[in-house]
Amino acid sequence: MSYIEFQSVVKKYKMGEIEITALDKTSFGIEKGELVVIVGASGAGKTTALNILGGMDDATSGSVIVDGKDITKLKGRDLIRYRREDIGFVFQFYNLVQNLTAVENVELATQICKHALDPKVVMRKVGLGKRLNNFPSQLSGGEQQRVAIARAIAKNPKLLLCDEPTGALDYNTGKQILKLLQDMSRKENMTVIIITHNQAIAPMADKIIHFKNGVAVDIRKNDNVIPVENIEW
Amino acid sequence: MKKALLKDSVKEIRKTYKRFLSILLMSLLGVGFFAGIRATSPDMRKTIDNYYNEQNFYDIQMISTLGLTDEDVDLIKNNEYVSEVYGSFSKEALVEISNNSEPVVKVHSLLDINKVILKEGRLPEKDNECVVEQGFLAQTAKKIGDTITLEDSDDSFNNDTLTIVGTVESPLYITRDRGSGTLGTGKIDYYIYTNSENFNLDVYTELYIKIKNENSYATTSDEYSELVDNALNSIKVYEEQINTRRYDELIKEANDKVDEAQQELDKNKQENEQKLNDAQKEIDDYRLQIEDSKVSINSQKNNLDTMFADYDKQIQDGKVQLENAQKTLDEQRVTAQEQINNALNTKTTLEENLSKVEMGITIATDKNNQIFNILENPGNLSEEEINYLKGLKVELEAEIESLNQNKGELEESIYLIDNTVNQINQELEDAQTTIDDQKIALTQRENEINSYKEEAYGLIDDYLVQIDNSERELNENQIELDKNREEFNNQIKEAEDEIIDAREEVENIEHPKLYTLSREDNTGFNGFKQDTQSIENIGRVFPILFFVIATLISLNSMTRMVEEQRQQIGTLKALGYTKLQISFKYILYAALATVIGGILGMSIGFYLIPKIIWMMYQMMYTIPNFVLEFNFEFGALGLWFAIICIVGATIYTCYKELREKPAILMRPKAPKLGKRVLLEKIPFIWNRFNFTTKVTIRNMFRYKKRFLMTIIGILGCTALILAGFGLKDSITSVIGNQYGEVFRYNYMIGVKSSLSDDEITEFNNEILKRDDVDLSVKTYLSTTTITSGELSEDVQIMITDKKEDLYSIVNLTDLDGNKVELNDNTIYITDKLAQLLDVNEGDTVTLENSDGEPVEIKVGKIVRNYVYHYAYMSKELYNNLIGEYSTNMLIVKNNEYGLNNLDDFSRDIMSDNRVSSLTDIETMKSMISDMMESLNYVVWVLIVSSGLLAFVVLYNLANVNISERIRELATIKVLGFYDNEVYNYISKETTILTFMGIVIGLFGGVALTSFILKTCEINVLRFVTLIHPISYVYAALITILFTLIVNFVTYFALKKINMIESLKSVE
Repeated sequence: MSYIEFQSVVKKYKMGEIEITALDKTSFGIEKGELVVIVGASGAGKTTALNILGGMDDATSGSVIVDGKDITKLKGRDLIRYRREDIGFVFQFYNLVQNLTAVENVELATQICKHALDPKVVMRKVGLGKRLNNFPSQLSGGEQQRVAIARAIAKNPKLLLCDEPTGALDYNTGKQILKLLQDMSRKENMTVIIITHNQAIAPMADKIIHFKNGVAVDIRKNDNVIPVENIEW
Repeated sequence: MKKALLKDSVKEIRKTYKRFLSILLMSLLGVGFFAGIRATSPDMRKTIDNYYNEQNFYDIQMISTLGLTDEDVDLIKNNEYVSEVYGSFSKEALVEISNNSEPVVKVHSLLDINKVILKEGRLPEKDNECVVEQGFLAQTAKKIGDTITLEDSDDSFNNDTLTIVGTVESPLYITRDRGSGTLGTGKIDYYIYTNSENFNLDVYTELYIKIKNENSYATTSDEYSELVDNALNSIKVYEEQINTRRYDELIKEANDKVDEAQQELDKNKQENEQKLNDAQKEIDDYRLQIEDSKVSINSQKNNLDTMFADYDKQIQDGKVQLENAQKTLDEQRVTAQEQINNALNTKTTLEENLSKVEMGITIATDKNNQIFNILENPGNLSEEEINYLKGLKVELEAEIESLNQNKGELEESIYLIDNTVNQINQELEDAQTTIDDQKIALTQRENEINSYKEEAYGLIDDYLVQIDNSERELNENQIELDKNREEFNNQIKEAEDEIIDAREEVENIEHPKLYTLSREDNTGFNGFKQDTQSIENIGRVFPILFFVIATLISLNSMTRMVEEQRQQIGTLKALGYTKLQISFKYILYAALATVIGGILGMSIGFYLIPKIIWMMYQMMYTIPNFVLEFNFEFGALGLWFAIICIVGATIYTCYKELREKPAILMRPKAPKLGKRVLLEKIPFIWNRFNFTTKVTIRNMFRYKKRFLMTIIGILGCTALILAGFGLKDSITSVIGNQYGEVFRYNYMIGVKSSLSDDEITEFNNEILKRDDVDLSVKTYLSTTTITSGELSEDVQIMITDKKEDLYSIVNLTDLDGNKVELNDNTIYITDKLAQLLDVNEGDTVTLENSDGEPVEIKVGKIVRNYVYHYAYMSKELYNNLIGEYSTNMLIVKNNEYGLNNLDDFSRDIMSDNRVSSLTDIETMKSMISDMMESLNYVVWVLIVSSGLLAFVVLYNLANVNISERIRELATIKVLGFYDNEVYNYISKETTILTFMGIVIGLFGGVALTSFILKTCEINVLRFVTLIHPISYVYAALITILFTLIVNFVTYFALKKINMIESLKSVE
């Protein structure tokens, strides 16, 4: 059994009278320490799958096993604890708290975790050792995303979930961010899952999952992992 | 307007219904409260106007202390203003319910004016029936059908025992106050109604007057007041005439009565005197008779005396004669005795001879017999011897013969002598017998006379006794008569005194006092009118504050909305829509919310607020059928306000946004930049804060607008709530201030004006001697007008004989609370009066002296006072400046014992006929506090509505806060903050702001209280801002309570935040 196991997960949304099936009995598995890239068109269900995995949303049916624990059975406080202890999230729009300095944004996460890393150390790791006391508005987009990543990994999570982490960034900056994520996965042996609609970056992953109409149609191990700096798109 | 935009607008409303509702609610609250509270006072006025019209309530009431007659009715009826005059009876009476329940009722006559409203049962048909107020049944446990008995000492009612046939409400009594009277403790407990015919009174106790055209004006309107004032002035002209007529009539009546009594007395006197005199004459005649009898008897007695004296003399003479005769006889007797004695002597001698002879004879006879015997029986005797013996015998016989012869002679001599002696004796005896016979006759005669005498004198004595008895009887009669006469004289004297008294009384008949009063003088109506005024005043201040806060909050919401949609605005702008078209959506949104909310608010406000306030007032006033009017006029102003503020704010915000280029607009508005706050420069403090505190502090300063809004909102609500409590505290403190701090007495006893100074002093001393009284001060209290320039006010002047006395009943202090003392050249006035007259210490005011001329006087000190206006000066100053006064009040302070037994004191004083009125401070206190109580209700309404507003404001702010920071909140949720941590993250801010708002709000509340007090201060009251510490606590706690409720709601709102939706993407 894989470290992470999606077992025929169904997710349906009700929009008024219309029922939308976002995930339709999809199943896949992810191993510990893998860097996974999920690709697919808009509305293919990749974000939904990520949200369910991240404990932000619940599945209509099916189960999601993370490290032997079925998170679809978690409710309320337990679900929050799962997010708190096990998950690090990175969003397209960084979602930094504008009113907090870079290091404070990291602290925001670390203060609630038991096994948190030192925020300053993590900040140095993401290359922002000198920008600790800048407010997000004083940082560039890439820098902000680095802070967001730092905030996510400072919690020392089991999973790092990234939803279009480069969506709002220019090519070079995006590349740097992906490099950072790849490095994290390699050096810290962290399980990282990246959602993107950009198929081009798939070669950097250990595993590539294709989503189409709510189903993981293609789950493929990448035997030829290419470092990010060598990927062009 | 493009169809797409309109569609968009409607969709927008549906989508953001919460915001729409919140603006709608704010508008509803603001407009509703504004309209409602402003409509309350007109509604109340309309209600009383309807009530008075329905019940045909009087316009003018005329009361005379000596009653009013049909002539008066006719007189007034002819006045040009008057349409109808009703003569009415009323009389207070005690009703004995049980031993310790003897309520005082005021019995009214049922008339077509001041019609009562029947609540239960029916109206009286017969004269021995009555209807009572509902409270009477409740308090006395009587039922309809039971009877009550009026204590009717002066026979004012034809039937004293009345059957209760129903309960009514009287328009005369719209408050719980039933007025004061002269029975019992001087307080009337209930009213009852009976037929006019059941009153056995010669004159009406009051007249009720309806004036023409009064129904065309509302009773509370100035037009009505003016009309009534004119009518009053016109009717008051008759007062003198009515008074004089009534007075003359009474005087005449009384005089007639006295004269009649005098006549009767005179007649009586004459008759009785005649009787007495007759009796006296009889006695005198009798006495004369007796005297005559006495004289006649005396003369008879004298006659008798003379007669008997004669008799006595005769007898005496007779006795003397007899004595003389006796004497002569006795002398003769002596002579005769001598002769006798001689004769006897001779006789004796003779007798001796005779004896001797006889003896010789005897001896010779014996010898002869012996010889004879021997001879006869000679036997042994010799013859010789016989012869001898014969011879001797013969001799002896011879001798015997001789001797016999002798003897005879002798005997004859003796006989002769004896004869002679006998003869003499016989003669003597005869003479003696004659004398004795005469003596006897004389004695007999004497006896006879004596018995006559006795008889005669006995008769006379009897007669005298009889006369004596008669005389005694006569004397007794005389004494009795004298007694009767004295008694009669006393009676006459008494009767005469009575008549003198009666005449004096007639002279003392007080001139009638006539009161011509309007509705304004009905304390209930007046209070009600003042209350409507207070509400109106409060309605001016409170709703506006309410309104401002509500508007600010809506403005905040709208601004937020426009800001949220800047991208859409930018898009539309880029698409080429005009500014107006773009703004239209927001304007429409805001306007719809405002107008719908406003109209809803008006509808609810017009109904609910007056209804609530009225419900509270109903605890004080008994007025049925509250009129609720949808008076758009009152609400329209509020609605316009709301539209201008909210829509105006929307336009302003749109305009501000629309200035930007579409490109800039389409980009998300750069989130407010994070900034360091000043506090961070002091690491010593900053580093001590935990993480959330730091965030909180940064956030507070980051959203300055919200920071201000929250503080203003909380501040306003706290201030409103505190003002509510503060008003209550300040208003209720007035009574304690006036009757605890300023006035230090318990009773004000009005003394009758007919009492002389000495009598008043005596009365005062009597009161002073009571064991429940500490102090009683002779005081002069009168109402006068005091003027300063154009301004004038009525004021009560209070003067005591000695200045020191005044200090013991009134605590004279200046405005700083220092004790002040009167001097002899200035007047001291109370501070509200000074304010109304616009005078300061040292200024001059004008009073009228007893001749009606104005006199100027300098104001010495302005003294503290809270209820009514008073002026104080020394007796000397008053006498010099205005004129002499005579005491008309005794002001009494009870001691501790008395304070526990005030009822006893009231009863004693009320039953004293020297008392004309009794003002009881306790009653006054409760009356004023009743008046204040109604304000309390209003205050409660304010407190509750402020609380409500606080809730809505806080809720709205919390909502805005959440929506503005939804991404941030979603982020921390994603990070794994537990629900309470998320809550803390946001509520810490609210809490701090709330506390800041409360603190500032408490200060604001004090200012607001003062402001409102100043705005709605009644002329005769001085409100001093006083807020009890507990009120601050309450105000703070209520605000905190609402904060907590809002926080509770926030907690769930935060829990519900959908992380995915919120974080999805930037629109």
